[in-house]
Amino acid sequence: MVEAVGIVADVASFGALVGIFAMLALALNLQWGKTGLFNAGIAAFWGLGAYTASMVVTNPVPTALARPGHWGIDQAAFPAVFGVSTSFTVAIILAAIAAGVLAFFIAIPTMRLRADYFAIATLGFAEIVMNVFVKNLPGITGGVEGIGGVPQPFEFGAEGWKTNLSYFLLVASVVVVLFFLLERLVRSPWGRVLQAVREDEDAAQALGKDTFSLKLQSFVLGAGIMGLSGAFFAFWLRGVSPPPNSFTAADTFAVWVIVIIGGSGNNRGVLAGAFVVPFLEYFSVRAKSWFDLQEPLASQIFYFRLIAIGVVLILLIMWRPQGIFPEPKHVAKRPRWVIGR
Amino acid sequence: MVLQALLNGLVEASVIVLAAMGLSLIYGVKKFPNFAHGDMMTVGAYFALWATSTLRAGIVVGLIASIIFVAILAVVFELLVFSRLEGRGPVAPLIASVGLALILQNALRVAYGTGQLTYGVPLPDSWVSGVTDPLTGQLVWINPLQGVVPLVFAAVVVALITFILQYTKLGKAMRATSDNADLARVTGIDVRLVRYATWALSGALAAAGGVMLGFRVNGIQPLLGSSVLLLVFAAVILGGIGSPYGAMLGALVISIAQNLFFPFAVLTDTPVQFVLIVPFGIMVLVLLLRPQGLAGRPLGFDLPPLRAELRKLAESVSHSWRRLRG
Repeated sequence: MVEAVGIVADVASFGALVGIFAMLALALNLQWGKTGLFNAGIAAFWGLGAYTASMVVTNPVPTALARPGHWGIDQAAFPAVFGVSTSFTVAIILAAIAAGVLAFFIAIPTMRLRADYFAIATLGFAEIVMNVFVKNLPGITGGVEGIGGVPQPFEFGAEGWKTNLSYFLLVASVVVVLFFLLERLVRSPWGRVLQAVREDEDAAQALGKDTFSLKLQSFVLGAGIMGLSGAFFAFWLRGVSPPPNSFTAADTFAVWVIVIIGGSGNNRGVLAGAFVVPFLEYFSVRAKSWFDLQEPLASQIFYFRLIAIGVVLILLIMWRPQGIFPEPKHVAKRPRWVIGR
Repeated sequence: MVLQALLNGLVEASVIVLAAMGLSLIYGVKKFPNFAHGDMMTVGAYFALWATSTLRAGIVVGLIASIIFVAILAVVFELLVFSRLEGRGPVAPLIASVGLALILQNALRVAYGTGQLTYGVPLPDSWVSGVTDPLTGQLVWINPLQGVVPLVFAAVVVALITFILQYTKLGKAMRATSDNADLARVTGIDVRLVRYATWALSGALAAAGGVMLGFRVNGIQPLLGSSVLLLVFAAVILGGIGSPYGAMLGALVISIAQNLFFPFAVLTDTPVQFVLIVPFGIMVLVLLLRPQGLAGRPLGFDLPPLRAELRKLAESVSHSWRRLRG
């Protein structure tokens, strides 16, 4: 019985991480897969969402303690609905908004750049946001220590598996809603214009489409979803810490691996791809006990995980750039009676 | 302190310029930003370390061996990966270079761990000049190993590269390929060979930069090169992508501006970690105002003026606002 409960807790926790990466991948798929924006600053939007959410759901730390506290809102200010504090809802919404606003201000100067310049610029912005501001404003963000003691929406105390399972169900339902929403969006006229911008921006412009504004909308919406994912990540991890522990360029490119494996432009594909990175993460953590690894290898396995990501990235871009599941061609359905002719 | 900052900036520029020229050469000929360049520098620094510690070679031999090794490594990258991504735009090789960066960085972590290592060269005492700084009244100093060696070495290499690019047949072929690969091919230049040569030169410069960076910070760790990658990109973009001479100028401006931040930070009580904002701020400003860089020619693609786009954006916002209000 204890075994089974442990497995449920483990699988649910793994599933929640998959869901968190799936949100990131869906967002990147909107930005890159559908619009052709090379966002290399995912870590910043993800991190900003995680920090914003953590600040909302934790009580302020009295500054009298040796470690200066981050900003926080007194949890008593949020009423509880069905036993769950509304602070979580507020935190998630604020996280999405914060990331979206950051994306807006990053996009204004950089959006008109070609993909490779855009990649350098967004990577640089992410570096500045996470490594310079978040790390060096200890009064707000907890500095290099980050923010600890972040609660989860459903806490079942000693019955940890219930906590994990309910959290997994929450994340999974958010992913499902996002998936259908994004599928609906990319099939809408708006989504089709985005694809037109990706394929040929000049042509879209010639047809009178405001491509700058369209790209901006796609970028901000995607970043908002990344912020949302960050909030769920902070609850999942029960805290946030700055780079080099979390929110590094390696995280950004992990999401890229998911999208490239799954197939950029294909939302179903990236959902499938979202299993890869958390699996490698879990595998590298658990391999130590599974295979009874000895010391040098036991800590090196984390680096082997990143080497594997690099190898997969290169092999896919060389041999199968469209990913495992290529982008489906959305053609208007032919009337049934045409089939067979 | 200002004089000291200028001198430190000059020394830092000597390291950055080596990396920036290599990155710029590849950007010019292969038309993509090589995100693995920083890690190629790190590989160079570690190879020199391996040569000096395991093979017990002298540091000069180690430096030369490392330059040759990384040059060969870069040619292998082109052979195995990048030559197969030819003609697929800048994004495919960019992603491949990210993968390569992950592999190199973590292979070094596996092999050497994450600790700080040094070349066994003892750190000599700094040379203190008779010149006093006007702001602080302190004497201006420079360390022979951490300052003079990179400075002199970089000056020699820059002269050599300038000579190669300007006066040799290979250099001319490189510049021609960088300008217009199709035209170069039509005039009988073996573009494929030029690409390999460019990778070799870029790898050699990366290794030289990596070893010099190891001297400058007197420590080698797996993030050595990638920690300055943003600085190198800033220098390349400031100078004009694909222009090695621009990269020299860009490296000088970026490094000196960055080092001038330190006296500024002390005077205004700003945390020194905010220094990264300086090169990045310059980079963003250049991308905004003069995307072709200081020395670059107009870009090969159209960039709509920012003002027009902002006006269009404001119009569309006010339009949607009016529509919302009915």
